[in-house]
Amino acid sequence: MTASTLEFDGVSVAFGGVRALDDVSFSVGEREIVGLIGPNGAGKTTAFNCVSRFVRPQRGRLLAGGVDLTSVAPHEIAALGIARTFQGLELFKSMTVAETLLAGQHSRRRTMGALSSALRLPSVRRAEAVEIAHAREVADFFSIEQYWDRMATELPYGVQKRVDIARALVSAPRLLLLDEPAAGLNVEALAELATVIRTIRAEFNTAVLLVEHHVAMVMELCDRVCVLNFGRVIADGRPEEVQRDPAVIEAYLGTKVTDDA
Amino acid sequence: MHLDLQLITSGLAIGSVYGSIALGLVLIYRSTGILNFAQGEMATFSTYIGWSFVVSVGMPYWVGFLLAVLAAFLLGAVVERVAIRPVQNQPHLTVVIVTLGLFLLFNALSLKFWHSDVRPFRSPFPSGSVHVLGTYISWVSIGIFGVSLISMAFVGIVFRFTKVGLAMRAVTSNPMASALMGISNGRILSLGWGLSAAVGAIAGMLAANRLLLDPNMMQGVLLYAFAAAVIGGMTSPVGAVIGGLVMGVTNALVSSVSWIGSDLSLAATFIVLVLILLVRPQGLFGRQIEVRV
Amino acid sequence: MRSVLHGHPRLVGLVISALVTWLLNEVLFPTPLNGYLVVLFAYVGGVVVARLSRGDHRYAALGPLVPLVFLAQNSIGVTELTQILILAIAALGLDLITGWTGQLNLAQGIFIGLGAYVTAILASKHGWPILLTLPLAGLVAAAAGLLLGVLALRFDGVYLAVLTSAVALAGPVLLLHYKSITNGVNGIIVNQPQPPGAFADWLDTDQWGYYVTVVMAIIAVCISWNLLSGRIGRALRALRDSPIAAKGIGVDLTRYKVLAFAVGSFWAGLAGGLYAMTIGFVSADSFGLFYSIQFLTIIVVGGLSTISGAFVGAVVIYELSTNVQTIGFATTVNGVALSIPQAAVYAILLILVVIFAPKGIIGIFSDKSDWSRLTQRLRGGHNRSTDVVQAQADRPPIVRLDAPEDPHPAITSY
Ligand SMILES: Nc1ncnc2c1ncn2[C@@H]1O[C@H](COP(=O)(O)OP(=O)(O)OP(=O)(O)O)[C@@H](O)[C@H]1O
Ligand SMILES: [Mg+2]
Repeated sequence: MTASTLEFDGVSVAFGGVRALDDVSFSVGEREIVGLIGPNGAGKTTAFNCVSRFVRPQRGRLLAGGVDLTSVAPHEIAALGIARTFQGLELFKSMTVAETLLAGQHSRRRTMGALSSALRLPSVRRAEAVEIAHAREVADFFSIEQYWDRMATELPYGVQKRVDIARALVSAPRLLLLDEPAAGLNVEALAELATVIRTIRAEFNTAVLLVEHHVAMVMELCDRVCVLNFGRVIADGRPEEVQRDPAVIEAYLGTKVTDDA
Repeated sequence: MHLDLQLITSGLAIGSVYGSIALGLVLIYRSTGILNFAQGEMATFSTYIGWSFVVSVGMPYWVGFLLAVLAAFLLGAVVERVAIRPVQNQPHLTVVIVTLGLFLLFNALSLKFWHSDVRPFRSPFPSGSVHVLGTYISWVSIGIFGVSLISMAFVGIVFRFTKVGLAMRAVTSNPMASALMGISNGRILSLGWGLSAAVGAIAGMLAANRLLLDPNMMQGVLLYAFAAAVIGGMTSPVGAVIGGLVMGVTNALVSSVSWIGSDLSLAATFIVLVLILLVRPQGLFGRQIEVRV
Repeated sequence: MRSVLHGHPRLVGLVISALVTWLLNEVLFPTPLNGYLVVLFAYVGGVVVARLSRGDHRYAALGPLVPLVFLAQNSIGVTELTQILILAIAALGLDLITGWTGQLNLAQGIFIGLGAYVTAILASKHGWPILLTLPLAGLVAAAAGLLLGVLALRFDGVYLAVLTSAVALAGPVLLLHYKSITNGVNGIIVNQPQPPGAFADWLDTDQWGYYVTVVMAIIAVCISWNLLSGRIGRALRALRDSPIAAKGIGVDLTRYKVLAFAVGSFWAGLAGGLYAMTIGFVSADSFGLFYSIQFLTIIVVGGLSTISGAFVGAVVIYELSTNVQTIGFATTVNGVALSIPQAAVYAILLILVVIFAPKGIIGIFSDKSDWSRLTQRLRGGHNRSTDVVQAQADRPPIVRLDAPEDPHPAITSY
């Protein structure tokens, strides 16, 4: 058996009295698209923050390709091939789209290289050229090349969301964590996003862990869905199984339906 | 270092001056998120105003004192309206530059109007001392300590128990909601600056005799006040006052150590400050604020 | 186009800018201009040329430097220009720490002082050749900056301001205290170096010091440009703009923050060495909090996170603090003429610049919005405090995918 791309193994996180994650176990396989859903405050973002090492689990293990993430520093996560987006867009407000996509490739060069950068040695120029070429490819993929020289935060919201995903994808991750990428998008943009995510897997060989409130989209898109409620995994399986699960209907889909009504 | 009671009481007196300036810093920081570098220089400027009333014009001390406090209040409010509000929503650094500009401005104005030589400013308190617990405590120390504490308590009461104080706290915790509720943010913020400046002026006038009134009188004090405010976590008024007293006593004791002496006590304070912050970055009274993703 | 990535110094622009300045200086104005005016001309020339050539004007940063080479022939202004460049080098360092990395540093003056003492002590007490002491001055300051940078990791926002202002206040006291090393209040006198053999015929001491400074400034600009335009610059801005997203893309916040402090302090130390060399006298009370504040004002007035801003700011602040005279009013009160002292004028101007041009002078030139904001405000301002509440209240929860495109693409300037 090959090590899965990401594996939560009995992970628990508590903030004071709040049990944000409670003995959570699930995994994401290679090139798999997994949905992570649950009502507000269920602990989805906290799960991402554990992977990013912003939050330290009190118990449990987190494995990525066989590496125990708890012994890895936050800035080393990217180099392990894990990239993420943020629920609130965290774009760099001083950067153009181009610069954002170059910044996204930060983890490609392993050393700081202060001296070679200061002198702008040929090796630095070559690396830069490769990164620019790659950034252009990704910009092209997300149809944001016409904004190449524009400040990222001054773009329309929908474009900003694409820039945000592009910044994560440009590091050529093995696993992409998307935190509510559809939030605030209109219907057409939503359909477009679903296509983009599917194409990401096809073209970039990337597994995707998707946190999303748009249940329909998650069900349609994902190979597997994991449902959290109050920090506990209450269901984990294929979309159609999960959809039928009474616990899910009660805890999540049920309330969701009445909410929307 | 020997625990001399006299040393401690004079440390408490000067510490209450640090505490007053620190309280002003905290009031402004709480209501606007701004570190007011000009706090000390505004106090010096107001002290000079008081000096002019008392010494140049010849008013009775406490009349001049009150007028100067009033002037300081207006000064604070005007400064907020004219210089701070336009940059209120600018990046942190911009606002810091403005308060540094005010620091330079008031320093220059004091220098211009009252020149660099030390102005003798008599203390309003009797010169003798009382015999307590086997030592002599000067009336000046008792006076400085008492009046500062009264003024700080007054501010505390305004802040805690009055409607205005409640509004001030509302502005801090949620400027938008309070604006929607019809609290006039602008006026409340001006009031906060006015109060801070007034407390600073009181401290300045009380301390003028001991610190020697010159245009740079408050610069040393500012560092101690920073330290005090930081000990208070920048947001706790009580913490700032206690921090001021701690700094005052520590400084008095440290200065009395022969190999440190008064010229290195500033550096010693700095080291204490760094150590405190290293152990508790949020100050001794502050709460850590977490940034959520 | 695409100049962010493919830009190379627009040498043509620089040369034209240099020639224009030189012409202005030599032909149009019969008497030699003040140095600062020349630098301003050069800068504006650089901007115009860069604009005309449809490039961005970030390389105009070098604009002010080139014409200076011609200028030193008139010895008027040479000492002035030297000091401006020294300020600019140190400001460049501070901008790296504060502008690019967002770490408020009020202690830059102390690192300049450190560098100045290193040069003064090695040259005066140990007889080192002064040019050799310059890199060492930078390195000693860099080491100290590294320490402060490590301390600063634990601090944020106002706490960092408190920490660094404490360093700025306590530093001179320490320097004065250890008299055996620093000579206390008496300071150290440094003999200004004579130009070496080959140059001795056509350069005097001031001009030699000036050329050394120009070379150092060019080195500082080139290295800063290389560092900041590439991966390191992006990492620094990333961690300033959004620390969490920076971590997400793999930026080691600790190392980059400390790097910024160390390199920024290196430039301060180098500037300090040049200061000792060209002023010829080093004393601790020159390097207090006021001195440090000056560098903060330089980068803010010039324009944060811009290389040229450090130079423009240095010109303006130097000019302001040395040439602004007392502004007198016709009114008298009780027979005393009302007037505002020079330092107050300086402070007021500083506040005005920050209020009306928050992106600094470079911002006025490069970013349309600053300029239009200013004119709008002058035409009949509006209440800003309600604006903010408005802005927050109507921040759209709903997305407009069809928002109109901004016809004026923003220009980042360097
Ligand atoms: N840094 C933190 N400190 C304290 N409590 C936290 C922190 N982060 C999250 N929580 C709490 O943990 C719980 C889970 O939060 P989390 O953000 O993971 O939910 P979520 O599933 O992402 O919700 P949403 O759909 O609203 O984004 C919530 O109760 C939240 O208040
Ligand atoms: Mg969430």
